[in-house]
Amino acid sequence: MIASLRRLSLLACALLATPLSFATDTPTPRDMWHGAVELQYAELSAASERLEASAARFCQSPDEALRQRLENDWLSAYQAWQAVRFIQFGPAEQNSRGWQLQFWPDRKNLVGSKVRGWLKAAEAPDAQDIASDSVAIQGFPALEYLLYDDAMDEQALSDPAACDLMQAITTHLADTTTALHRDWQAFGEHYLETADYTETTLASAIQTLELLEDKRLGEPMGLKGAPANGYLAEAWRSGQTVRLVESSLEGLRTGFLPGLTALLREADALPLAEAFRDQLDKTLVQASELPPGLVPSLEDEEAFRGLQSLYLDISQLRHLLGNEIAGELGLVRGFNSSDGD
Amino acid sequence: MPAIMLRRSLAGIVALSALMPFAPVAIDTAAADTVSADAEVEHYADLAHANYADALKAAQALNERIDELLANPTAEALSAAKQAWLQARVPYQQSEVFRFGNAVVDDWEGQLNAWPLDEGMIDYVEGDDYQHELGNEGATANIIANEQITVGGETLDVSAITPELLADLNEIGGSEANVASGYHAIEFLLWGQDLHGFEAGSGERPVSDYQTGDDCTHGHCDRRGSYLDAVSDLLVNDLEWMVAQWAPETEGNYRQELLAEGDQEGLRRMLFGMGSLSLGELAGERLKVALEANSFEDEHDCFSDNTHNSHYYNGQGIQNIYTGSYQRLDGSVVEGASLQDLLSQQNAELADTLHEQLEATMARLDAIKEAAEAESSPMAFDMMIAPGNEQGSELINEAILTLVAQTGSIEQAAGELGVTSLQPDDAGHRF
Repeated sequence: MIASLRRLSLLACALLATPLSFATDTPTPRDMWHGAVELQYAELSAASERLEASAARFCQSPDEALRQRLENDWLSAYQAWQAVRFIQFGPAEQNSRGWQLQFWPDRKNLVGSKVRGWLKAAEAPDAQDIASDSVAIQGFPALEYLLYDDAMDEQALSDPAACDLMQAITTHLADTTTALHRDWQAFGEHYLETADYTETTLASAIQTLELLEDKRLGEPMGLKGAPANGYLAEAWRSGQTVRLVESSLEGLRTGFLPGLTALLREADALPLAEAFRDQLDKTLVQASELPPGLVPSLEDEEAFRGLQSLYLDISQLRHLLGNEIAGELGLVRGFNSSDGD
Repeated sequence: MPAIMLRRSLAGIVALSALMPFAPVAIDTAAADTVSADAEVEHYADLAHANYADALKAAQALNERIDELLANPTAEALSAAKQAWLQARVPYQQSEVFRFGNAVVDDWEGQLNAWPLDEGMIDYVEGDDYQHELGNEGATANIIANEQITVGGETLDVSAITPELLADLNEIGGSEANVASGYHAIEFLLWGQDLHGFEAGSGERPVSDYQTGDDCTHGHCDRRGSYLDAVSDLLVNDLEWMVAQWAPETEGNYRQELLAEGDQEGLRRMLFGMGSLSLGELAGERLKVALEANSFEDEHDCFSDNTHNSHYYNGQGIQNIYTGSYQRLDGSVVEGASLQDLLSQQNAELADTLHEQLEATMARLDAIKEAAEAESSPMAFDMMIAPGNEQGSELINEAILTLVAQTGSIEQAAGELGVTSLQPDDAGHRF
């Protein structure tokens, strides 16, 4: 998975050899990435704790205002996760934390069957029960089922079975994101000392854009050889698919772009960083102008054209990073993960 | 068919002797300690040919048992057909290492080994426990019970169940879960749904599902029989085609195309296949997803509970390419130029490391197989992935770790052998 990056290794050697004063004055790309991502994990952890508290308040005295707040807190925490989802290595891959937060794609509706299983259970689960069960019950999609699935029309969220389950999941989620934040801090020294993480970070961002293009938009929109299928979209139950895409793009803007710019400046290729920033901004504007959901746009020609524009913008962004910038930096990424399957 | 089975190419024999110091022809050419990449790729094609020939032979035996079952549906005949299916998986799962990297296999295999499937497209299912792909209109089509089905707004005449019809229906409506054909469709028709969840036990289809008149259970026994007959014929046809693709001295087949590509491309396809099956497919899709999601819907051989063997023989297939040897169903061994020897010439230490890692993986996969086949309290794969089964998850996690480790060395081996642009298929998963 780790591609070789000859020129960058040379660059890294050159950086190690630079005088200390230079190194302290000018943060390295990995310094910048580590710092920015730390803030993103801090926000994810804080938002998850707000969600946990919000769930507890709603369950104590369920009313419409508290439910609205709960839904908002769920979305904010889910968006905070999207922002830092481009880091797919390090603490995020320990214990499959990425899947714990968001098990996706879920073609066979495992989320639905796990939630229904717990709703029928004789005893309500606690956070520990959730921790030892499937990743499908542990994350934002399971909460989304409780908040939005049609099946919940027949069972009030305030019912003890549903409320206890929701609280167990939000507690587990808050625990996981707190640990993630703490572990990222502890991971810092290793990350900063290990030159290979420069290419790992780049490869992880490229993969994020590929996932956005192919799986998060292309497949549900029916652009990948099979008919459109809204169930393949993320957050189809709440209709927030496009908002999550937007948050991932914003996360790249704040968490990834500064380090990338520093890296390209060192490589004397600043115009590429500017081109990436401009394309990212254009894509962000396009995403923000679209309605929040993807599924309704499948049936609406004009709205679908908007989605297509977003898809094309992301495709160009992916090309810039995965081909032009990776090429300039000598990042060799043979064929992509869809080859051979 | 035995004619194909026994034939071995002249080139294959030369490559074989080149590795055997005691073979008289080899010594003069100094080939005893030098392996050429050309010989390597040629032998790779021989391995594929032998492997698919075995898969075909085993599928023919399965087809015969199925014909016997349909002629005389008894419990014994059903049991014999199931045994033949289990045997047929042994060579086929080893052949999966040829899938990645060789588009001719990858484009073809969906008709043979696609999974997980929405089995309600084929036959009756029990509603409460039936989880199908969201948005898949074909998931409850039930071809056996209906002479017409509607998928994707299209009404299809399925009154005559033929191999051609099943080939056309596969992945209909664009859903990969609409699996009308192949090993898993046959598995479902022999075993039926596994309604035991994480508990012991596999599918329990009664043989009366194939009996006639008043003895017929679940209705439409004649159409169920036609389906089973057609789907096993199709499997044999498909494998015949693939054997021909790898047969020596056959004008215009895939083997010729591969050999014409040159040794670097051949090595790339070999290594890509090994790495992709190790990491993305076996460690990822087949082990990690099932374990982390505690999902028996993601179990490979979910009707028969033969998953441990499917995984084991996937691992064996990867090792076969490295050691250049394949043990055939009749017990004989096909041997020849090994990737290990080729790699040793460049980096003996790495060659040994990879050898040990492949051995370690086989030991972990064997531990899973042993646990699943234990005489007292066996633990099948669907029990291992149950929430809270620490022993089961440890067995699986250890296999994942050794597979990840060997993938790292396969990547390094590619670098040593001058293969560029190698990136294993991780099927979207990272470890």
